Amino acid sequence: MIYFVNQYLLELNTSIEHTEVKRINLFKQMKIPAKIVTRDFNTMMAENIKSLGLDNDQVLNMYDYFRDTINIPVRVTKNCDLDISKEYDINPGANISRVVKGAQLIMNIHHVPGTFGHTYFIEYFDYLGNLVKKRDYDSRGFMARDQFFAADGLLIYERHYDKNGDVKIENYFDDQAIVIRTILYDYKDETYYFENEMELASFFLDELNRQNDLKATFIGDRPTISYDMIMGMQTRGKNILYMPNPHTIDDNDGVYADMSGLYANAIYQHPNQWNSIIVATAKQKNDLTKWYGGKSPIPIEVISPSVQVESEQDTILDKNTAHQENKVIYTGKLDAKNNVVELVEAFDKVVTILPNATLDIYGYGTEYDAIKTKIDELKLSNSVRLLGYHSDLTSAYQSAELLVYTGNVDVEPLCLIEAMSYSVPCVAYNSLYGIQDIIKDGENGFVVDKHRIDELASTIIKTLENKKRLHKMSQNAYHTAKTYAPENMIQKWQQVLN
Amino acid sequence: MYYFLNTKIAINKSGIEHAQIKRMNLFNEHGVANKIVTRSLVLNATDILKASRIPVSNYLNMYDFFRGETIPDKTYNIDDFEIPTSMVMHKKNNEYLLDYQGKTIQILMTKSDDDRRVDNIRLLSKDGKLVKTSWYDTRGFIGVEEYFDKNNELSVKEVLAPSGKVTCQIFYMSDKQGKVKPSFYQLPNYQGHDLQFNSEEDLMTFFLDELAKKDKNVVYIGDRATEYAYSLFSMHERAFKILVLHSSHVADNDNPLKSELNNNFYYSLNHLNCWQTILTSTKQQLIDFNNRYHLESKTHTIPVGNIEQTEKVLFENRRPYSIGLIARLAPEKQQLQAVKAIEKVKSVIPQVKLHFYGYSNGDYGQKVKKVVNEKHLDKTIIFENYTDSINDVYKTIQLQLLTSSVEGFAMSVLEGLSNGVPQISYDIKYGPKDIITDGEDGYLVKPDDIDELAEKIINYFNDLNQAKKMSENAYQNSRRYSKNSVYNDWKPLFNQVEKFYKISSQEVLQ
Repeated sequence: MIYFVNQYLLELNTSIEHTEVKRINLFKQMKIPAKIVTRDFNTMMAENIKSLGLDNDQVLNMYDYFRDTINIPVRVTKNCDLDISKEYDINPGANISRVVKGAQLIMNIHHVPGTFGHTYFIEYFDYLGNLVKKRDYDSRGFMARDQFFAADGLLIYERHYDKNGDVKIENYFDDQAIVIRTILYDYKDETYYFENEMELASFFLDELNRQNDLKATFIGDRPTISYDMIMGMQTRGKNILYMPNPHTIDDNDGVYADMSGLYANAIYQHPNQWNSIIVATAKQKNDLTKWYGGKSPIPIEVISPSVQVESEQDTILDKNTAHQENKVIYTGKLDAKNNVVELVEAFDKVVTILPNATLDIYGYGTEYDAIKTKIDELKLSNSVRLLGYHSDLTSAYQSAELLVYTGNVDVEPLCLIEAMSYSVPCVAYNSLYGIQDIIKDGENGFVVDKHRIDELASTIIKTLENKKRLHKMSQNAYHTAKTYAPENMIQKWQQVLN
Repeated sequence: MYYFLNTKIAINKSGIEHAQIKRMNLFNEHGVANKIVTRSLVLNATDILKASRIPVSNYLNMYDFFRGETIPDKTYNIDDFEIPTSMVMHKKNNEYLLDYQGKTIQILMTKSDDDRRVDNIRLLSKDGKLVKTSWYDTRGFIGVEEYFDKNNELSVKEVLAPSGKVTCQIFYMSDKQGKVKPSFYQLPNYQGHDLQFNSEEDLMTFFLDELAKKDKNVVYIGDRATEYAYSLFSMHERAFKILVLHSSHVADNDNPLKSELNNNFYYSLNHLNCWQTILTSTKQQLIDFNNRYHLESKTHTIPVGNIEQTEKVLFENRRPYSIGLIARLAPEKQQLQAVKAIEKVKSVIPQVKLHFYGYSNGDYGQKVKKVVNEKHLDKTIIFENYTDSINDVYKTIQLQLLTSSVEGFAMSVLEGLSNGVPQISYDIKYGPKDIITDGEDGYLVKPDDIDELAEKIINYFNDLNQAKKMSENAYQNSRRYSKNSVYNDWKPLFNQVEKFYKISSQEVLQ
């Protein structure tokens, strides 16, 4: 069994999760047994798995494993299932139902957003108005966790319940909300003590390894957390470190700059813990090898995180009806390093030449508000839309004529091959890794030097203006995507895994 | 069922606990179902019950009730502790350190080096900070678990049943003044519902209601009015409630008609309609009470004390010139006046000895000791502490003093008399005048008249023939407080209870 080790799967995910999702589906298609394993407690896990289009047996959460709640029947818990005493009155609300005794608030029952009163969590209050206790319900309808708070408002303790309602895991916290003692009860008839949640997570991986006769493969996908989980194990499987970011702290230099803090502990301090490192591109492998002085202590493999998306693209290519004229999209994080404010500025210039050009921005991130302000400032709200995070971008890609990506510190942005799978050419800022492996100037898109806003604008304009060339680029893009077809990608994996 | 309400039974008992135990024994002998009910969360119930000679069947603690399980009567010794295979245990005094992978993570403590019962287990964080304490009940199970905040202050207390089920959660929170106190009591999943209370008093109200629902015809005897009145008055269920005046109901006994009320009864007496009956221990108090409140129909006098048949001890077999004063060391007991009187007596009778039996309230005991030392009376006046075997003491003394400023009954006076000990007592309200026959089995002295007190003691020891006769009279006269006699005093009240519940069931039928 191959385990993709991660911290969490959330409602809003990053390229790390999307890389895993692509990979797990690839493995499923090729019938290679694999699971994404996550560490963090999350009552909405089942919903997140569903919204990422995954099956339950493709994901294994640590708490589900120990609580024995992996394949628990789904039921709905609502106010009426909570056995609220008749001594209290319930004032129902869309998001919160207030349970009161006269003027005194007894508890707030929070409902899962977007549901009709499904229980999310309950807060209990004393008569002084202090929050004393919080009880979480799993979206599958069972009581999952209780948390206790101290007089200073700080969380001091939590207990996780198994499917029978018995205490399975306890966590004790210090004043920084850091776990300082973890206890696992009645696991294989024994009680286990851990210094923190991370030790428990390593033990969890050990148990998975033992289930596989110590022959499991662990791919660490999330820097530091996943790597620490794997390195804390007492047993040894096959450990693979996956690099989702450049390995140095300098965007422009992968050879002489210091190693990034994300990797230093794992591959510089503890190289013996790893069987291999996987990077996205040959250039990064080359740089990392040079960084090590010409010989890496850990074998480095190259596997792109991109996989061609099944897209019914033949229809699109032949009739070319779905693509809307002059529609540009951006998909990806909206953090500072993604430079989306610059893209909006460039688009201000695009619409002066092509007034019907539109830009749809998909994603979330720290710059969301700054981008919104910029759109308003430039009075672009008729042309530029901020559409938020969508786990399924099919219709976005189907409608677009062009994808523009302005991030500059990736190892290989997933959106390029995703877009090209739908015959959408790409314009992107150049960066150290990944861009030029996919975009061939003038063939399937254009590469622009980063932060050159004017050049970005004129490139977008020239790409959209010449529809004949655009159509040709569109066909080329599809062919580029085809080289990332699942059967091609799986071959690379098979080489690494064997 | 008669429930005698109390906060807790401790090793050191006050007159109220003694009164409840005497009443329990009296009711047990006559087959009247009764239990002493306590409210406080304690871990050493078995030890206390054994020391106090209270049968387990006569005891009901609120938290035990909510535990809702049969509580075993067993002990859990350090030898019973199964060391997990993954741990190593090593001993350090009465602490047993449990090491897991080379680090101490739990510390077991026994009661003492000799008493090998497990007292508690502390759980430590990786840095050795205390995060949880599990307390063992003396009945052999973890009864309470405590969780702590960053400063090691208690944050959450959980009460556990023998099965390990959590039956009550208590959270300690800050009020607006920053004072941390228990402000959230929850009974998780009590008969299918989570129930929340703001205080132990509110929880107590619910408990009294649950008891009243469970067995019909409950009678609650409020022996500790201050602690229980609020809970009793807040009940929803109909129940027969009795207020027992264990002390004077007024602050100034010289003016019982107009005086301010005794603080302990302020709330209770301002809600007289909430009580079905008010009991006094003496006729005198009943008269004073009814002169003020005119509640003849719902008041009774029943002595809180009653006497056991005791073996006669001849006067000459008692320690010569030994005097006892049996009372808590407390300002209202005025032991300092006894000290001054004995100083005078000693100048005439150098061999006189005064023994104080009783625990101290606050620092009053220290104060008395200081005076005794200053007056170089430390060989004459001896501090004996509290004893659970006070009957043995009565057998050794020749005279007993009572210097209190106020009493509800003065149980020790009756106990002394029934053991043939003549009494010299201030003539205070209430008790001494009812119990002592002046000149026959003792003397009543004007309150606070230390000179007269000293004179009476000197005269008593100067005529030992008379003293011997008084000792005889004491045995005789105290018989009017025999168990049979006191039980007869209860009968009108039993009838009243019966009537109360007959009416209620008739109401239900209609």
